[in-house]
Amino acid sequence: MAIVINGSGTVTGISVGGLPDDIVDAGTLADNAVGLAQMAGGTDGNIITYDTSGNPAVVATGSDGQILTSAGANAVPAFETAAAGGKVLQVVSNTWTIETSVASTSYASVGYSPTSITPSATTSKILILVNFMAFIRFDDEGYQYASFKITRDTNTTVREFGRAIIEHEMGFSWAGQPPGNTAKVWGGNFGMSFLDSPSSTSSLEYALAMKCLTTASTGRVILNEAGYEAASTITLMEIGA
Amino acid sequence: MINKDDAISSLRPDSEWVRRGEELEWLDTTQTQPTDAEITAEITRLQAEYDSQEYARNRKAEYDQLNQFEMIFDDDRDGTTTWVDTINEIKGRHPK
Repeated sequence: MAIVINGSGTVTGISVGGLPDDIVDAGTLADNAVGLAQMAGGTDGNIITYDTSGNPAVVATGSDGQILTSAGANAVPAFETAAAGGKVLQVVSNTWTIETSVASTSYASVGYSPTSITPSATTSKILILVNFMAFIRFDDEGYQYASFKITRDTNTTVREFGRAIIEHEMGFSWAGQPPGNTAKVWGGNFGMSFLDSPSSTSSLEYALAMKCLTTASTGRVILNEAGYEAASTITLMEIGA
Repeated sequence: MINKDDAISSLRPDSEWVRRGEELEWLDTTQTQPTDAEITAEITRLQAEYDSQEYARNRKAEYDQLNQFEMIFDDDRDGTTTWVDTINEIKGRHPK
């Protein structure tokens, strides 16, 4: 085919490969002229990058689930297995406002406190966070205290917090104190935490239990006492190994 | 305000029990669990007793604000009746 220069800016008649090698430079190509169809084929999954000399290169195809990781300056990125992520695998929280009174020198579970979680692995630990408002009641001079404990599946003591509230000869009055009565109330907001290692993938029920030193002289321990707009919370976090 | 716990403690002193909301679990092995009717009646009785003493609570709150020993001393020294007058005035404002 004859090469024709028509004098209007058009050259025709050049066949594929008809130009000498290496004569088309960047300036000859219009911007945005190279599309996917004009690019040479490659290996599926490769990603185009530049090597440390600044020349085009490919990042080799990684494995399923790997992520592209920068190696920083003067290094080629690569597909690599993701580093271990956050350790908190799940969170369960239970808040209740129902009042519980325990007039007992043995531990009794607090109503509405049982909270369940099912660990995803036996190597996981359970971080237990408990916050509550509690008071001890004692209508006499002397000594009274309240102890608390966290239980797992009712019968297993995870951690005891003995004598968390102690009253001894304190002069505090109870709001409903009858004249001449020495009723005393002592308490406030409390927090407890413990990291449990249950080695289980079964559903686990954590709960709060409490007791007092004596039930004499109306002795008892009260959680979420009505009229105080109190609330208690148990939060369970599964922490991955 | 008298509540269920107060009534139980009044009816069965030193007894062992747990109340979770409205649910009562009786733990005591030596005393019997009071009935709901007994508890309700005791709440009413204790509340009435408490309410009947309101005047005394009000008087005591004001008495506690006074330095009565000094008032008595001053009256004795000065021949005045400030202490008696003050107590009478408080009693008058909070009659039985």
